[in-house]
Amino acid sequence: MRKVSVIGAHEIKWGVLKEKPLLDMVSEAANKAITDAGIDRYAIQAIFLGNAFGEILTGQATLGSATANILGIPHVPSIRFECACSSGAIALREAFLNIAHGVYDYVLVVGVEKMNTKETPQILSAIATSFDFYDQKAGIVAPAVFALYASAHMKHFGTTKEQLAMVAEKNYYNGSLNPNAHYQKQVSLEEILNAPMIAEPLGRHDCSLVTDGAAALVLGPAETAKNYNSQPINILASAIAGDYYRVANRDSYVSFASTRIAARQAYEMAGVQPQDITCAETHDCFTITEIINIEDLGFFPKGEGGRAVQDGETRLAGRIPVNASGGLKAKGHAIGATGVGQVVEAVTQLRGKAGERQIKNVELFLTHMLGGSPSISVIHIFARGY
Amino acid sequence: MSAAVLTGYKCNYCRQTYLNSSDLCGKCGSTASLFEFELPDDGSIVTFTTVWRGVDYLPQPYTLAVIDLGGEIQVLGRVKRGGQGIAINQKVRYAGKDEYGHIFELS
Ligand SMILES: [Zn+2]
Repeated sequence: MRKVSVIGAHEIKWGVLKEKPLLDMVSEAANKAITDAGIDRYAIQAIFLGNAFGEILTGQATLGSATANILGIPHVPSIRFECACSSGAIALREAFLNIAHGVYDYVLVVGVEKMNTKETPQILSAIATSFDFYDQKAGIVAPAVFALYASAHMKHFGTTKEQLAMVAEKNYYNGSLNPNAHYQKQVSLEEILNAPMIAEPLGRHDCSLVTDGAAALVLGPAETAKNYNSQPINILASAIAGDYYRVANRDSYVSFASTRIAARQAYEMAGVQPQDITCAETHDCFTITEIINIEDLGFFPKGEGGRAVQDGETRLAGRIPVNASGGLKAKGHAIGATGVGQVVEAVTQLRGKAGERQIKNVELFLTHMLGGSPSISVIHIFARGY
Repeated sequence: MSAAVLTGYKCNYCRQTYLNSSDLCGKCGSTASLFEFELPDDGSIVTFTTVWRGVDYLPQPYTLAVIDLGGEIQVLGRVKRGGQGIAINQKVRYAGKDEYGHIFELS
């Protein structure tokens, strides 16, 4: 297998982008990533795009072809990947594998989602298509799934609503320092705790944002990366694992098996331990999800995620900063774009260009996305290639 | 009121259980081996949530729970609470189903 680098990265400013057409979002992210890579677009041999709800929310499917066309390279193979929230992370992984195994040299990875096209109930119905048909009928919506985990985690480990709120407060704070974030204001713990209930014990501020966003990366072989960009970022690991799709079929509601399995594979591939990771972007679709993830990723022992958050260990100046970008909570959750956006944050932090939210001495950066019910987990680990 | 019966399906070959009938077992591919069996009426709550902003066809709020039926199978269902509290490990009884799914009540 060849080593693979990210040689270009860009994301647009995320938010409610009602006036910006889907393909304008793609074009801006992709063109600026190509410019960042310093590569001629005609050298790109494939485009892998992550998008979850193109048909339902924008009326546009076949986004692979649409993307290649708008970028002026219509004959380049261009494919869309769909796996709910992890769509973008999977597009990245497929690009990594194709380059690692010598199929292509240069691949453009795009993540895009335009969510704010309809009324809230229709948007929630679109998101609910990520769940099993019978679960949807039974009344499952995204907050309910993760509330089932929150109730169990609170019961088994004494995790508190205050600790959940501290995840949101931290991520809002980080988002306030990120000019690309959807939401750039701090929110007090009191306001978070007093928000209306969505699915007990999760209130409105425990939920991530409904965001429009796009992000893009250019990947290539590590050996020639510096011919294009003086600050390439190497991909040390790419791992993926699945889980039972129907919500009631799980062995545990305090842990995501797919994350534990993928994490083990990722650490082995990179030849590192969880404690070697400097910082991470992890799937905080709901506050409880971040607490469970930082345990399943091995950053903290099972059951101690809430305590770690309370002790400030995941804040920007903590032992292992988590979601410096603001995460899905504040940077926003543009479903198919989120996994690619996480890597833009990894590249920005590793290059030392994250401004006010810059983490000190970043060496190893981990990105992690859940997808589906959650029935899939995708993990990548990055380090400087210069 | 006659007790509601929750039917499950089990593969005669690999013993996998299902809540929905099918022409073949998805796990082992065996055809014509799924047989109907009666699941226990009594179960306990593995975890639960009360949903205040959920699907528009159910009156809000509604309580959803993962129910363990005697270690045989776990089922997602709505729990009729009748104003009572609810907790993990609490005992519930199968109360039937409607067009949306299975319904349980607190024992
Ligand atoms: Zn079978």
